Amino acid sequence: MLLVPSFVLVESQLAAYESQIVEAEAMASEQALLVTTVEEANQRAAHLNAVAEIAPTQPYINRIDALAGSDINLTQISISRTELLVSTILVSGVATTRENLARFRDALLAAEEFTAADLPLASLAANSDNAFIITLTVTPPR
Amino acid sequence: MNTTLTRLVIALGLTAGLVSAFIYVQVLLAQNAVDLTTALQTIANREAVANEYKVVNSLLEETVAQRNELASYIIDGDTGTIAFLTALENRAVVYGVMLVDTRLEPSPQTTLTYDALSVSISFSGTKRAVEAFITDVEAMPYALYITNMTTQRQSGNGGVVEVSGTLTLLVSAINIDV
Repeated sequence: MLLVPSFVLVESQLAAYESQIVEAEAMASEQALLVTTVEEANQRAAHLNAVAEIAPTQPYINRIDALAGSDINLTQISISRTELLVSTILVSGVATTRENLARFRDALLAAEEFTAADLPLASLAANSDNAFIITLTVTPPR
Repeated sequence: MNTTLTRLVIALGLTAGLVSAFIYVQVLLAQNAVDLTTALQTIANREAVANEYKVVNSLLEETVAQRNELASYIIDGDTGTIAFLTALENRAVVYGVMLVDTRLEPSPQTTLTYDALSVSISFSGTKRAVEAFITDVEAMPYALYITNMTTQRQSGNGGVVEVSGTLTLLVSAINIDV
């Protein structure tokens, strides 16, 4: 009979704790929602960082223009990407002389933005007003 | 003799009853002790979760502006698409570039997390205007990049170079049918 008071005490404590557990469980489910929100924000941030790493196209055009100078009349530029990287640039135009065209090709080759500048030999046949198409291979970013 | 025996039987019965009641209450008590320990442990765990909840909640409250900004970089459904196109057209007006044609197409993505809206535009304007326009478009506050672009140049009046061309933008988007 001495154990009865202990039993009653423990029973009442259990009842009190059970209500706390119910409250805590409700909070835990709310927390799961918050965690989802945080994860979503992290995912967006990671995505935006990845997109920010993608090189824009206009700097390549500016570079080609700068290397062309006044002796090269550029008529068309086409830029395309493979996956996320600018891979190939086609540059069409007319050079005042074959020497200027060769110089332009050499300048493109020397530029760190490009690993190759393919110019068909036939473009150098004429002495002046050399129409050309140069295929540039873009250096992958480090 | 009979009286003594009767008393003995009663005493034995009472003792057996008391012992049984004692054992029963002890078993109940032991079970409750186990339940109590489990409850205390559960409460301790939940308290840890509740503390974490408070941290996460305050973090979320502090970063509402940043999270809204992050969300704004990604087109969200038709409303977002219209807002993006309006921003694009406004830029064209600012730089004096004429947008001749605009085409939209959903573009499922495999490399990046979010799908994209493919926006193809045809444009024309002076070389300076087009270059400034494209530079600005690539810097728009959206997760976007130009996938391909072709420009043609022609010398116009007074030595001004006129440029026309097409480009395709991929803009990250959610809630679009891909």
